[in-house]
Amino acid sequence: MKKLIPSFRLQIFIIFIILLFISVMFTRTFFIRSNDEFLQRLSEQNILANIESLYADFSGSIPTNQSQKFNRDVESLMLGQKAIDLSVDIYRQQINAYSRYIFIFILLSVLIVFVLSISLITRPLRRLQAGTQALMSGEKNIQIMENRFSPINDLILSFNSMVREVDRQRRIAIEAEKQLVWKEIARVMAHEIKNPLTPIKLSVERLEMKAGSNTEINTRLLHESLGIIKEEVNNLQTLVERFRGFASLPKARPEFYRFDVQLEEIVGAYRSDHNIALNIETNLPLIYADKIQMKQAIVNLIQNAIQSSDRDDFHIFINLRIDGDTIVLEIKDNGPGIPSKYIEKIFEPYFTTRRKGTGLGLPIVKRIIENHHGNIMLSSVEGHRTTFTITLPIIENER
Amino acid sequence: MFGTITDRLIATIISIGSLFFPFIDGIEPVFNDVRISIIENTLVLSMHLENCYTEELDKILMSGQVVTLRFQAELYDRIQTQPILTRQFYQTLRYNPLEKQYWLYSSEKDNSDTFSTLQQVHRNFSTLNNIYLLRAGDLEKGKNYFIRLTAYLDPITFISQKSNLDLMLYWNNKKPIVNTESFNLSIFYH
Repeated sequence: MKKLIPSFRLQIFIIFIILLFISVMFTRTFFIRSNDEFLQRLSEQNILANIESLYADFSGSIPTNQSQKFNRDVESLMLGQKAIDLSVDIYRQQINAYSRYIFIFILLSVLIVFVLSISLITRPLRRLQAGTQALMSGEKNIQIMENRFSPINDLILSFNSMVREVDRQRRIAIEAEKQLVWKEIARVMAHEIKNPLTPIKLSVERLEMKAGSNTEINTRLLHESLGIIKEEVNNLQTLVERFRGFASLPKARPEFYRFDVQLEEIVGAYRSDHNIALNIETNLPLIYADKIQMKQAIVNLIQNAIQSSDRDDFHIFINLRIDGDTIVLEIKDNGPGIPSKYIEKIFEPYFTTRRKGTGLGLPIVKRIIENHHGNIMLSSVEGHRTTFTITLPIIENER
Repeated sequence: MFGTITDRLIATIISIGSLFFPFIDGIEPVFNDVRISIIENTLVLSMHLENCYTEELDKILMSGQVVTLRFQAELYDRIQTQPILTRQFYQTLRYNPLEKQYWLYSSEKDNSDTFSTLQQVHRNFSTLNNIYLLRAGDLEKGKNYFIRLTAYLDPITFISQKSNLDLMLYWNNKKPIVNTESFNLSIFYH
């Protein structure tokens, strides 16, 4: 139905043609009618009949020696009048035809002007519009074809140079951001590596000191020192694994599956040690997501909640429901909450409030959810609760 | 300056427009009843031009303007591309409004006939009877010939027109043309 409505350009063109047609036809009709009226009045003079009447009246009374000249003159007058009548007739036909030619000429001129305006104004404008949209959709190095005959070519040139400049600035910004990120990584890595290194160094020094004093190193001290070294090495290993995981999150391989079942399985593993309440709405549709990545995200959130509190009455409340055309997962805990000043930074890489945290767990969760065209939000009241709300779009399973 | 440009533009538009949409609805006359014969040892030609009058053309015939219809006969032999002989003749028609009669002059007969009705004019103006072409003795025995006939109208001038009125517009600017059947002397003497 939509296709039946002509484009705005076509509508303008049709209106213009109709107006042009009407105005030309009015003008043409006006002039032709005026001309016809004039010619009509001319023919109404009936000069020929008057001449014939005069000839009939006086031909008998003309002396014989002058009758030949008289006849010649009358004939000449009549021929002249007939020639005028004929000329008028042909002139009328010509005027009609010529007005048609001029009308067709105007029509063709309008068409040519219209086509020129399309190619010189409308088309470059459309290219400009498409370029702007492409720019908005994330394309970078867009250049619009120039047309030096177009009156808006300067605009196109400005757009092209603007895009080039924006691209140049973007590259500079990316480069600066990269440097900033690397500096931040270096800072975090130095800090995270330094933390386990101190106990390792102390343990080694203790062992070294005992060994240097020729006193027998007792088994307990050895086990204790080695235990510290092992634990800190494990921490370093975890740190490295987390960094690697964040840097190279694999491409999602979505499939349709029951999210409620997966959630029950994940929560089931924690229920023996923690107090987790699970509320799942019935008749949930299948979710279209990468099963492994979704598990990673939920486990991260649950562990994040568990690690945040050491309260005896610590509870986690998990709620899964439908809201419109989305599935909503809420993970709420009654832990210490997050100070409001940290809420904005909580999803930033390497930001953590825990001593042994890497600051990568929640950024990974955010990336996973966003890769699934979903959204994650955090609300927290310091000292009372924290709630993570994940929304995922419901995708129709056509099979 | 502007007036000159406008005049030229409109003249150009009219010229181009006339090429595609002539202001006169023309017709296409055809030669009919073309006969070649030998009378008193002379090759003569008769023919009639049909479908050559329109309402507008009749008005011109009745206006008293001198209208001239010209004919051209070209004798070819079958081999050569150039005509062996070209003969031109014409008929002029003029209406006398005083006497209410049409005067038809034939160049071949060199005399005039008078007609009182347009029907008579139609019959006679576009008809040629036994027009002399050449002596039969000038044709070679055993050689095949044919005659190409064409006709056209001379333009006329009106007092109110800037230029002549080309009467050929009424014939769609096309001269009627016909080639006779091939003939040789033997067909006339069997």
